[in-house]
Amino acid sequence: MVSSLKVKGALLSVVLLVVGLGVWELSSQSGSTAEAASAYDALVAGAEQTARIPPPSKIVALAAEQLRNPFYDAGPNDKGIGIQLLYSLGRVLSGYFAALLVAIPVGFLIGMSPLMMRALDPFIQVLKPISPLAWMPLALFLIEDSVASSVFVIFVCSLWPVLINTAFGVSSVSRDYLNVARTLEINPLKTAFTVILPAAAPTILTGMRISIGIAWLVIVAAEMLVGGTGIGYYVWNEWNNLDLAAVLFSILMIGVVGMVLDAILARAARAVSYEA
Amino acid sequence: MTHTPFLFVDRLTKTYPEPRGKGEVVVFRDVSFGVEKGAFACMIGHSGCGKSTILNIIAGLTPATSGSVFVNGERVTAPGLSRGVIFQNHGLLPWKTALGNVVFSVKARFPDWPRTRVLEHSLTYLHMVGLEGAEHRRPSELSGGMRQRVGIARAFATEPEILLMDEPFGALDALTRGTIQDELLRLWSKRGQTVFMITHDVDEALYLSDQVLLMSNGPNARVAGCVTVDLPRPRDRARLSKMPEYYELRTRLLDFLSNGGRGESRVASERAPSKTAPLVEPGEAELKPV
Repeated sequence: MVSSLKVKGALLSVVLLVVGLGVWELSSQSGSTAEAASAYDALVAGAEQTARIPPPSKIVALAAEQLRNPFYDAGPNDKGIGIQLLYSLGRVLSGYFAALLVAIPVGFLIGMSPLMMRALDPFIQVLKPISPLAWMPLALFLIEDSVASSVFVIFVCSLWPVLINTAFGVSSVSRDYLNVARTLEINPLKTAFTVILPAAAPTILTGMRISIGIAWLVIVAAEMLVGGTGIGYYVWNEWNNLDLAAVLFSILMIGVVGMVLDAILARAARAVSYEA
Repeated sequence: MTHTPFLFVDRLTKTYPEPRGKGEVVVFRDVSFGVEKGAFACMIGHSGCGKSTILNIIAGLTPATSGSVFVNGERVTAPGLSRGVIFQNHGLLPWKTALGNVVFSVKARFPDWPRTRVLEHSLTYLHMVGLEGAEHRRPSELSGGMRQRVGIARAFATEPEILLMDEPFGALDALTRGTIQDELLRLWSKRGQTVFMITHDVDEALYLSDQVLLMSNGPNARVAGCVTVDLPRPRDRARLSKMPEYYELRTRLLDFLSNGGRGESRVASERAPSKTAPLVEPGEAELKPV
């Protein structure tokens, strides 16, 4: 029953994809073969055609070409999609892991201490809603390095969900588990690692999953701002080149990488989940 | 020098500040009792009389307002491995397997043991409560009875000087409860640990214990009496039900409970025979012999 639902779902996905792409393909073809009565019309239509959304077949052809050699490097403005994605991933992961190193211990502290919770809550409430890109000018001024600044922006945007979820997870660990540790005379540090951390792990992982999603959203915008390398810069650069096929292809790649990142964290979350 | 019992509770009082206002609520006042080494003691009373609080104070999890608790002559100030606790809602760590939960406690109790010995010891106790085949299942994959068995195995495996149980079978059906009671008695008779258990089930108290402490209703609860259960061991449910002494005790306890914990001194002086019509709830009355 479940497997048949799975098969049906997959089939319907394929049908939707084929129909969607088919409609897209046909509509862009009919547009390009619009009546070209005069030479002038042909010229205008020709000019129009380059600015038109390219058909899927063109994007697929470009993707096939790009993915055949994703890591080529032919100068600052001509690098393979793989290299650009790796630049972006490198920034996202370094900012993200730096955020984890700060957010998990601080979140632990806040979660363990009602006093710290109260004291830090106003700061978190104000800092949390700030768009991470708003930090960019300050980061550029302080760090004076565009790459490090984009990493900093990722750090800031990854911080809050992990911090808040860790604090929440730690503060809501059942009294029963803590009492078990107390009756066994387990010291506070060991209790933190063997009881509180596993008990709060599912909540922390949820925060980590939200963070990686936000980080991957933000890196594209950050790289459009700072330029140089990365998938965000690539998208913007292809827009400046008016190569919409490349823009659409990179949009697709951003989606695929984001999906993979989310799937990895979903798997990690499943590994630490438990039923109370 | 007078003899002090193994577990000695001395004029324990617990008060809470009143939610609104300046006064305070006295949960129980000047509760004193003793349990001898190796004895099985039960405390019964209505909910709200502070039974669980008394157990938590003995465990060292809750501070008393005044008074003290001594275990083996030592004053209780904090939780400790000398007192094993079996929690009301099993208190298992849900991310660990049954075996993992027992191993966790055994490692804390015997930190110098090598891994194989810890494992062997834990398995022995898990098997003693009949959990062969369930070692690698998590609490969520076990039935309520099995979870409580893991809790019992875990507590016994740390070999505490005294076991504290807070209504350990409250959430179980009657059949499972009976089986686990038998397992508990078997373990207890083998290990000779002192047990202090809280229950509101009169039959459970009589079947298991040497001594039943009666708590009067709260607030301002106190220990209204201590009944010695001198029924012969090993006990057998079928045989117990034919003993007049059993019914005499049972009536006495039920009378006490239905009088709201006020009548023990009167009942005790009358030695209430089972034929008098005591104030019992209709459900209970059906179980009584005529």
